[in-house]
Amino acid sequence: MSEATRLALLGPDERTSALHYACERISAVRVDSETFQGVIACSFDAACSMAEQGKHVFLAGPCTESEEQAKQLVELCRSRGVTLFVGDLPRNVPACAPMLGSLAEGKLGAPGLLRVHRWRQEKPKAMSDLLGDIDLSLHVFGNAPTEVFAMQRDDVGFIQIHLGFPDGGMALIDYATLPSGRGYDSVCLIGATGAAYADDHHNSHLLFTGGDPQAWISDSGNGLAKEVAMFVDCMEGNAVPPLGCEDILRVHRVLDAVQEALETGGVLRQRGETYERV
Amino acid sequence: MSGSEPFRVLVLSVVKHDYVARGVASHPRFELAVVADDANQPDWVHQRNETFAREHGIPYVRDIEQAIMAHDVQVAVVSPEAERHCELSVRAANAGLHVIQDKPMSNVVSECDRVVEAVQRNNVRFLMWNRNFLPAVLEAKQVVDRGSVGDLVAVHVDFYFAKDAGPPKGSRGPGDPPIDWMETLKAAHVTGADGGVGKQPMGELSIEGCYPLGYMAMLCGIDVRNVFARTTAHFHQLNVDNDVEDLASVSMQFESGVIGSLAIGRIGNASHPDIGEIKIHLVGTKGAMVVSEARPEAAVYYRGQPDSEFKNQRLLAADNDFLLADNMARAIDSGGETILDARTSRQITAIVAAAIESGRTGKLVTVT
Repeated sequence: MSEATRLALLGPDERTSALHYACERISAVRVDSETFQGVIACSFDAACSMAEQGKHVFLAGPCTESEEQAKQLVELCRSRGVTLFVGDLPRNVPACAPMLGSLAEGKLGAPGLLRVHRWRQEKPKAMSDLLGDIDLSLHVFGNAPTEVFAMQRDDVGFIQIHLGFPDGGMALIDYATLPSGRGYDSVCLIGATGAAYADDHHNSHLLFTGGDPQAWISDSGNGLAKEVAMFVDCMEGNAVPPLGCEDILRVHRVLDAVQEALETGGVLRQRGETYERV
Repeated sequence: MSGSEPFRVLVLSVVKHDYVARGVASHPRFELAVVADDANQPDWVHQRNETFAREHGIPYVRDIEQAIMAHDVQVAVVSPEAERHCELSVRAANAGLHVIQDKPMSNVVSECDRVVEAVQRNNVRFLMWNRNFLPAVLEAKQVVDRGSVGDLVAVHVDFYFAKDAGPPKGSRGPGDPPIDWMETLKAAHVTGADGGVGKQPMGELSIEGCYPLGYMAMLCGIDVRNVFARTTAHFHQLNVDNDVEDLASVSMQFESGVIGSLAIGRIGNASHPDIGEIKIHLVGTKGAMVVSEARPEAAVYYRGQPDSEFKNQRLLAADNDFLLADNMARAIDSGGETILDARTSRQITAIVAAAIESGRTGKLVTVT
């Protein structure tokens, strides 16, 4: 990069502040809302508008609510010749780096079980909020799931997703809503010859202020700076986004299957590109 | 504790790990009196029974009914191969003995029904050996009972044993015979990893599933309506050759509306620095908790430490055995139920059976 790549940030303050900080950490990036080559967008509409104008698009988290929306954005970016990069993904956070790196190097053997606990202060607002961990599971197993099952307690914002993959692989992901305060993340990958654990419980400290101690969890980072740097590489044609256009659509198809499983209470099995009730 | 004479205990076969009989013997309310088994059992069964009897200075009798008549016993500790668990428990109950049985209850739900019927008809107490008195599990129960997390919404147990079970998957050469289940598990007796010994191969859900399901039973009941499971032989050639799982994940819908999950596996020595990762995650309407089942622990490291030695040693684990025996003694005294009685144990077996079926079929299975 010979001169700073200029990126604009579009979105609500509470989401863009972390992104702004991520951009500041990259010397070859400058945040500029006037003249910019790429945009970090926090909504589908903003992403489409910017792609229309020939700007490269970094989607900050799940912004497409359906496969149709994802297709629309994918096609728009293709037709305008701009990069579409989906960021703010669990697969890119520092906590998952040792796990995924070891998996890629063959140290863990064939993946068997991905176990995720994600507890947050807010209920998922849409199925697309679960996109990140669905992507993580597809990335780990290198395939779309063959079976999809899910359950929920909508009254308290709890969802459990259970996926079956070829060759016996499985993923079990639960989302819970906590009353307030910090969330909790635990990701465990068990492979045939090794396992990796990235667990907030392990990374906790104690605070004594009288009575029983409280625990606080070390911040293990969000991976946004790395993702922004990857985005800039993609903009310059030096790399391709880790989550490609077909991958984005595949994740949405799985999300649709999860939604149907929740609505019907049944198991869905893969049939070609889609899923059908068993 | 009542100050009466100790209960005399018949050890009804002790061919695998003997921690149940030892655990019972650790309590002053119980006294091991005799070991017994059927005469027609194979030599290796008699050898192990005799060894245990000799170690404890008690007779070994190759006739169960005769041992019951001659030795004035009130309690039977049942630890044969799993496929004989229920048969011996039924015979003990029919003879009027209270029963402490090793896990699993059985591989066959209908066998469990026989035990439930026999225990009820003979008005004896039944305890399936479990880990519910481990300190972390008890403390979790106390937190739940205090209402600190509100009403339970979800209960998850991740139960991974970092133990090998023979050579890894994919290690069988062309022309090699399949690994024999019985012989492999008999050989595992020296390490204590022989919970699945018997003619009938068993996967991890059958061998160990009763422990995490026992936790759930204590924390929120075990009224599971249906299950969806994934099962696979992922790690060990033994499991591949005998078509039983060493890795499973189970989603459970409880009648009460609670959602549960169990992830269980014998994941191999290399996959954890210690015995394994065993965690309980509970989500409630007011909060949530994360519990490491193994704690409290103390760690010991030294040069030349064998890989096979666990570096973290559980504290108070032996208390679990004493408390289980105490629980049984109190149940016998009061006529009340034990912490893991026959009906609950039967339900656990039914959940395991449903999970195994779901894993094979890929369907949601109703627990019967």
